[in-house]
Amino acid sequence: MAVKFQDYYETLGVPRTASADEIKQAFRKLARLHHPDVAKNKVAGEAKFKEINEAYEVLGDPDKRKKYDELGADWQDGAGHAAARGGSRGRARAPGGESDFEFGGTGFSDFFESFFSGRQGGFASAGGPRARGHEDDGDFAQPGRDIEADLLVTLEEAFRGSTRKVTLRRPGMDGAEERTNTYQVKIPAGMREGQRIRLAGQGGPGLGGAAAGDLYLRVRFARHPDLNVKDDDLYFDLDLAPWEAVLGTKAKIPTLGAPTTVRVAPGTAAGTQLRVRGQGLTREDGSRGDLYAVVRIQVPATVTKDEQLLWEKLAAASAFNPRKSS
Amino acid sequence: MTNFVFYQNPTVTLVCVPAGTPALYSLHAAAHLCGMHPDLVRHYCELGLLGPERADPGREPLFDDTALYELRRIEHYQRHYGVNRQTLPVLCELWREVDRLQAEVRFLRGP
Repeated sequence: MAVKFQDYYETLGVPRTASADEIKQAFRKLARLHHPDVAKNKVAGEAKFKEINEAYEVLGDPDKRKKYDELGADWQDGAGHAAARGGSRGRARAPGGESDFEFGGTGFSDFFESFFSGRQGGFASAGGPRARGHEDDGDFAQPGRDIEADLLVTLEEAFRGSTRKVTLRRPGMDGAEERTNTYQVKIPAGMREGQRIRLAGQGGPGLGGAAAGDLYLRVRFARHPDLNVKDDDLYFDLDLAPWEAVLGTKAKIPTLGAPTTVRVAPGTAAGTQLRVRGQGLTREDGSRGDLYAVVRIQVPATVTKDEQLLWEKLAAASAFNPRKSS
Repeated sequence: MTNFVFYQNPTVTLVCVPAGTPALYSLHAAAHLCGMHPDLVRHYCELGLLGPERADPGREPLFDDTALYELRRIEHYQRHYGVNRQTLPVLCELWREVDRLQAEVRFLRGP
């Protein structure tokens, strides 16, 4: 099956020699631009956002990036594809390897699914009650395999809930025609990374009258350009100028809804976490986690002559010693 | 709870998962869906294989889709890889630990 090679460096618009920081910056810049909530054209924006996310998923992970770089070089030679594919696990592989399922609409490309998806192959379950019945009769019956795929879900989708169309192309078994199934999948609000959505009986077919396996979609959060997730809580890096941290200020921070404003008290140190109650993800009981703005102090890379003089004046006047203990 | 198949021909199936909150199953429903005896599922809960929130003795355990997946995975490893009951808790603990560490790495890498 043809798998289209994706140039992730091109997607993020960075050279192949880009540092990890440059890749992160490029991702955040593009993700902000194409975030589905911001983009003018929602559909195109979402597609682009997922593309960027996929690229960052690989290039932002040193191990995956290394693997990708090796693969990319092979690809240019035109010889690496088959070898790489043979060496890696197939996609949505079932142990036994006879089938090669192909997903669409999961938010990841074929290429990603084939080479980087971390999921394990599906497995044959104990089977439903029907399969047990057959086993008791002594007939040959083998329950169908469970199939698993990753589903890229944005934080907003997970928070508000959403519906997604996922397609699954199944190879024809024993000369049968291949078939494509389309699933309208409801992503319930409050889903978390790693949770699974089960489509009953949509896995591999059972043999000898045994029940079919299930199809499991595993939720993977798309990287948000600004917000980071930990359990129920969201984290935002709040960059402040040194004088803002000293004198205090008000700063606008993004949330999953409308931006909100936090008050930074005078004398706020780097690393301080400012909590915005109830702006996190929804918990199981319906309450919400919190949003933390984590203070980082940024220093201007260059200063003008005037600024330089002011800093020098400050340095002379101040009795502050950040290394008191040493 | 089952999925609704509302259109089917030999090459295309359109299935809609019922709306609302994530599906939750009782002990008996979960056992039925996994083709296991309820006592076995209860035993796995007691061993702590499905995470602490499902082992609360004072509460009727409820199972979500992820728990069903885990149950089926346990069953599969027992049947096909000969993993015994002494090893299961270790294996489940390792799976959980890997998930936890992966989440941690992801968080630390930042947005």
